[in-house]
Amino acid sequence: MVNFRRLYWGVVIYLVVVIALFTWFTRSYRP
Amino acid sequence: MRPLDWLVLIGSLLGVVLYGLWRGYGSKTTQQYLLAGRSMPWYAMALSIMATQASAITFISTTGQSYVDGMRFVQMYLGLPLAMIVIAAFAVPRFHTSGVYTAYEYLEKRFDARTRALVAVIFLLSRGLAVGVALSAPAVVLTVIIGLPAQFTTVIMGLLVIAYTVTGGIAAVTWTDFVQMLIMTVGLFAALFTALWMLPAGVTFLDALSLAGAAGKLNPAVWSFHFNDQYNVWSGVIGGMFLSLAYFGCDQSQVQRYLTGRDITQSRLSLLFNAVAKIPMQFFILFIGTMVFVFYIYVKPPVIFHAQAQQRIEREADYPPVKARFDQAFDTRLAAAKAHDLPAFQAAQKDVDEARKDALRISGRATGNSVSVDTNYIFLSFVTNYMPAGIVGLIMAAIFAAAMSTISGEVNSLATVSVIDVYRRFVRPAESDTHYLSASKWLTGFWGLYAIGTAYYAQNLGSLVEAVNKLGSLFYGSMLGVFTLAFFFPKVRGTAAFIAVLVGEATVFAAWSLTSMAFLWYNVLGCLVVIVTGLAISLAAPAPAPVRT
Repeated sequence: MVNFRRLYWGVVIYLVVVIALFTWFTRSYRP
Repeated sequence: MRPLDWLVLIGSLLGVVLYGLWRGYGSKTTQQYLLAGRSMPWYAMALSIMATQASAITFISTTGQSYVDGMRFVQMYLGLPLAMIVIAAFAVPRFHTSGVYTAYEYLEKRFDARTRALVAVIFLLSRGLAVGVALSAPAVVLTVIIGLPAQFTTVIMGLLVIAYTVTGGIAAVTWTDFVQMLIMTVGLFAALFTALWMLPAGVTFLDALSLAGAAGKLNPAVWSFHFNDQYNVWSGVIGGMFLSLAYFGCDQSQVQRYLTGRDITQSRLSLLFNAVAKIPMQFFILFIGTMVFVFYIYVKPPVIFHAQAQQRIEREADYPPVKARFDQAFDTRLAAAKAHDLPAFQAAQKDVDEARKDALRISGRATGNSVSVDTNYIFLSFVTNYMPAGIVGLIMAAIFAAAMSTISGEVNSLATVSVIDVYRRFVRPAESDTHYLSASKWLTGFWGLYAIGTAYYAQNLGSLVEAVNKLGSLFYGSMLGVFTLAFFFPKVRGTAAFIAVLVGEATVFAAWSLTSMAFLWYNVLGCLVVIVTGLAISLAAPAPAPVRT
């Protein structure tokens, strides 16, 4: 049985990490 | 295009069509034809959802967009993972347990027949407008690049799609999408690695990043909010979530993909796969555009990428000084890049951009094309002029795959809604299953031919194509609103929902004609107006008897 509640939280954490990485990437290569 | 490229392109097209014909062979019931007998595993649905969403324009235009404007476009997808969670948690179980063929069929179970009919017609209108554009837009661009007449490309692509979509139904569509998505992935990796490999000796990956960054291209997260500009984190998460909720939760071309799932778990997994995979994929495509930008720092690009437009402006009297300025700015930029002098590089970049802008203005005056059209030619011009034989064919195959997977999904869903929500519900309600199976095949053929026909006219519409495409997004907010009412507000009944959709549509159209609001926000506006109106009506005039869902 797949625990979807855990998967949903995993996706939310993933999104936060992606936005954090994008922010870091943008700041590292700012004009 | 060299012989090897044609071999790769034609081989992949034929392979995909034959595979689709084989996979879809033997549908004996309407349920098998329209829902693949509810037998699909999650990975097939996951890639099919992805392939349907990724159109040829995603490849052609998005790469060009990051060349011009940087990677900030990726933020449009930041709301997608959240939308996938909401759909997986709330929409999938409701659609599955009610045993519907279409999302709109669910609206009758929950509200009434006229709400179902209204929303089904809204879908047929908006998707019907978009399907011709989905076919014509890549044909127009490919015409300029590979030299085939646009009508020829349109008809060939359309007929290939009709061949496997009519005979095999959704099973053929889903499994061809699966293969087409694999072709797209291989094409994307090939494009990125070849672009990196073609950078001059001595230019490292980190050099490329630092130059692209200095030119302002590496900006996947913009935190400053502007209401009229959708490319920032806030608009991306909120507006993008509403757009994804509407597209994946209410648009039959996507809902039908996960209705084919073996069970709720398989359908949910397919959506969650997209929640994770979609942002990296878009990032990847945009990143290819920035690497093309870096390539053109070292190799002089044409001022305008649309070859005919470039030839045309060379005859204009005010073009030579612009060209001289462009050449001068390019040389300065190249010298600055070689010397790693970033401030000088940025100043020269500004001059290059200014000269290109002036050239596009002249071209717009001379050819009547809108300035943004040139963006569509940047990536393909790079591919055909510089990439090695074989890779060009592979990337063309990926673009055809992207176009065909989108069109097949749209044609299939238009036919399904026409049969289930209109023909079987209102025209001939008491026929045999064989009759509806045959009607589904005929209507799939009809919508395929309709797509070819409208694509033929869309080519002559020029910038109107863009308007028609945007027009489609005017309908999404209300659709999302009515499904939100259906799922979360059990006290709202049919009449309230029906009136709310009409009020929502009227509001979005008013906002469209009276304000300069960014398009992404129409989804939020339409959805909220429908919810508030639906709730207000049901509070003011409560329905007498509850309706079982």
